[in-house]
Amino acid sequence: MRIYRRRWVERTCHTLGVAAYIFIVFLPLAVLAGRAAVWLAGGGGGDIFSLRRLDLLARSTGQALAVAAGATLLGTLAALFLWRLHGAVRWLIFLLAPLPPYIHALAWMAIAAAMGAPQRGVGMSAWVQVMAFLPLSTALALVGLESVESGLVEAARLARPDFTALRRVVLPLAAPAILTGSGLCFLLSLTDYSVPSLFQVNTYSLEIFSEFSASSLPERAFVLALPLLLLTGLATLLLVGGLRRTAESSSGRGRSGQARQGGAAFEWPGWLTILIGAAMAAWLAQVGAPLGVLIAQTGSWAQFSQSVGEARSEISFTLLTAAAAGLLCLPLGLALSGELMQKGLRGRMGWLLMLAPLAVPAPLVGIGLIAVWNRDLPVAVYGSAWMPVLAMLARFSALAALLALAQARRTDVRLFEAADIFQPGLLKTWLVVRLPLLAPGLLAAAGVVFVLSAGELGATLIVAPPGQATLTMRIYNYLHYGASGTVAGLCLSMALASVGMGAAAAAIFGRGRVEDGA
Amino acid sequence: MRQSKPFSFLVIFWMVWSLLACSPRDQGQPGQVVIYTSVDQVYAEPILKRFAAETGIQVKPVYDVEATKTTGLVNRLIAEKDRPLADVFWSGEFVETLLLQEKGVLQAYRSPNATDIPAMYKDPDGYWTGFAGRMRVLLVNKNKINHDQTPASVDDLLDAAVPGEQVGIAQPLFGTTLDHAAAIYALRGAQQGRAFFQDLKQRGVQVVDGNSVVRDMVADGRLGVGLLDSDDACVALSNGAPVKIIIPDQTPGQKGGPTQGTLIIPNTLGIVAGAPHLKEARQLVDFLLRPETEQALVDAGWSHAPLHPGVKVGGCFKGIKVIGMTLPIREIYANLAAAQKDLTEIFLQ
Repeated sequence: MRIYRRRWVERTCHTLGVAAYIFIVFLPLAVLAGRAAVWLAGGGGGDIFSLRRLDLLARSTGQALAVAAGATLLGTLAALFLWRLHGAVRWLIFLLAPLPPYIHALAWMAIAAAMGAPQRGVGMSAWVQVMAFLPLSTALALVGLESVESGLVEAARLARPDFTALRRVVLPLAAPAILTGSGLCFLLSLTDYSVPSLFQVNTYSLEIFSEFSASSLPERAFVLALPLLLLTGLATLLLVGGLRRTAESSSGRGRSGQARQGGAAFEWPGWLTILIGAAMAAWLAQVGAPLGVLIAQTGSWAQFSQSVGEARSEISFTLLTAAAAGLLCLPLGLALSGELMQKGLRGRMGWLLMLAPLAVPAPLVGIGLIAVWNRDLPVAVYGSAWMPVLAMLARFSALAALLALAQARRTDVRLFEAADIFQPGLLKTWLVVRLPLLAPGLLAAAGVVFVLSAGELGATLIVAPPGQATLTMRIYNYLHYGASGTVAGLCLSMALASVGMGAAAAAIFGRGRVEDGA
Repeated sequence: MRQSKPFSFLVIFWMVWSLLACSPRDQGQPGQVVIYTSVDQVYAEPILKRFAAETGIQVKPVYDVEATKTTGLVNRLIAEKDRPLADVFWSGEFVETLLLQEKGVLQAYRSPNATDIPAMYKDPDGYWTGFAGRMRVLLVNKNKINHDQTPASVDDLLDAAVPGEQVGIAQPLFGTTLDHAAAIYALRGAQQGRAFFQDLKQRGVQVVDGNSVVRDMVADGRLGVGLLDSDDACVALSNGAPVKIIIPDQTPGQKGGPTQGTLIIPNTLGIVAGAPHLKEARQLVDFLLRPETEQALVDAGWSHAPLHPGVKVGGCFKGIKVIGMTLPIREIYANLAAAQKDLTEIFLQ
């Protein structure tokens, strides 16, 4: 009876978590969708799609596919290198992950100018986006590789050469995370207008902004964004199909307690070693180019400390709100990850719930949040620091679900089952067994959401409380003024803040490993 | 030992929750005013701090950024219309403000400090007031463009003397470049306006992300000529870039036509309808419309075409008399939609 009661409580908590996810993430979008439906029913939208726009959409999709392919290839190769290393220090290569893509673009423009290379065109735009999204694709590929069960790998290596084991066993098993990274890079590229615009490349997302700017009607912009949602849905169907096949082929994964393998013992063929070397060179460029340009533009320690000193309130507000988003995304992500593991229509709906918010332009998310929260409520939420947190949650909780899913799949479920039987209380089971076992994935999720939240602009600007701003808002404001030294100093401070958070997470992460292994 | 991790986790969670809880909404409390502004923080912040120091009223600003393509604060104000947080809207140009007036977001207020501002820069019903104008100017890199190639008119951007790829404008779908396009439409008619921009496109003129990018590209020699705002141009000059600023269309046109003048873009101010702090909002608007404030904005390098008589222009436009377009702002605004539709078709392909 105790187990049945416990299961009932767990199911209730799970349902509440999914409901909270839908409320926080989907309600703002649902409000916009409702307005769009009314507008369409009233005869609007007849002029909204044209051949020019469809052509733009097709070309933007092509560009996004190219960026996703490039980021996935480089990310997977780099992850193969990192997989062979041990310790938390390898996560330091994600140093500049929180920098907005726009800052990467400015750095690469400066380098291209110094080299006399062209500073516009699809090629440069795609390269900069690949560089900006490389931390994401690499991190997810690394998570995928580390989730492969060591017993299967060792069995394959006994029978076949290492490369065959990699091709036939390791990569297919790591494919869910790698493919997900690829899908996310595709969506992020498709919805980003800032980098292509800087390189004079027109995109469909810029068209959405143009429409929104011209009409100030969010419903028009939302309808214009529908093709992006459709593409997301299509990508989801393809992705889920692939993921399900992979999951079924690796049944039993997560049961042996030997999930963490590390690729230290692998011997790669020469050509693969060269490719991995090239990917790591790209990684060095990813960190080195913006870092070098930022340090050069900051100029001096005095300039850096002045920039940071003047932005104290923005730095603390950013750390506070991004940390809150990083923490609060965890229950939402945990709940949704349970849905992602479901089969059939329910599982597909879960994946759609996860990926769809990533396809909606950020300012529209902000407008939806105003529609939901700017009303008389018992607790004053609108106009408080909670609004940016809600915006960050609405935009990035999906990623927390993804990482929670990856962690759940690499965790020995027999430990959960044993805890269910032997632990006296549900709360204690969670605090003593489940949370510590899930901690690495949850910390990674909190870290990713923290980093992305710290760099969020479009939705945060729409809902930031008066008198308070994030560091990213200040960076973009000063970017327009042309204070390159100040901007560089602020960007460096953001990178340092993320290193500090990363180091703290790595310390706990490393301790968690020891405990898991104990 | 294992229990320490979730315990730490919960403590951090509780701390963040508590800190956020210390930041409640304080709508309607006296002694404060909320302002949304699209003026660069580096220019607006000192002015707002001075107001706070003089009056003791706490100012809570929200600053816009160029990167959101003017979809930020204006759409926030429209979305908040039924329950506004903001009291005052201060725009660096005029289109956003007229749009807000059209959407019923503003309320009328005639500041006593605006009486000497020319009527063409004020709304006849008092919904907004212009001040502290900026100009559209040409920035020329002296190392790239010879003296005899130097353009004197926006029409010279079509002149074959300067190769098309050496000329740059900001994306004309947004911001002050769109304002300028609407002014050209108003001045010449839609057909000629469209033809002008089609010719620019056919010449292979570089269309970049914003005025600040135009400025940086001219300053470091990637472009020879750029069309941008006067404040951006002055930043390049004060940074020591090898550039000179040309105020376009200051002489009679071809075939002895009238002097067209350059577009003057005033800052505009309005009070939000239903402003929670109306008294303080009026005080702030009065403060911003003082000639002393306009002088401070000129001295800081934000404004170069003051609208109060007696305010002296310094810096990079010191002693220069500027001939501005004589088009009423309302007429420019009326051409905005047509211009934006055409320009989207021309440039967003």
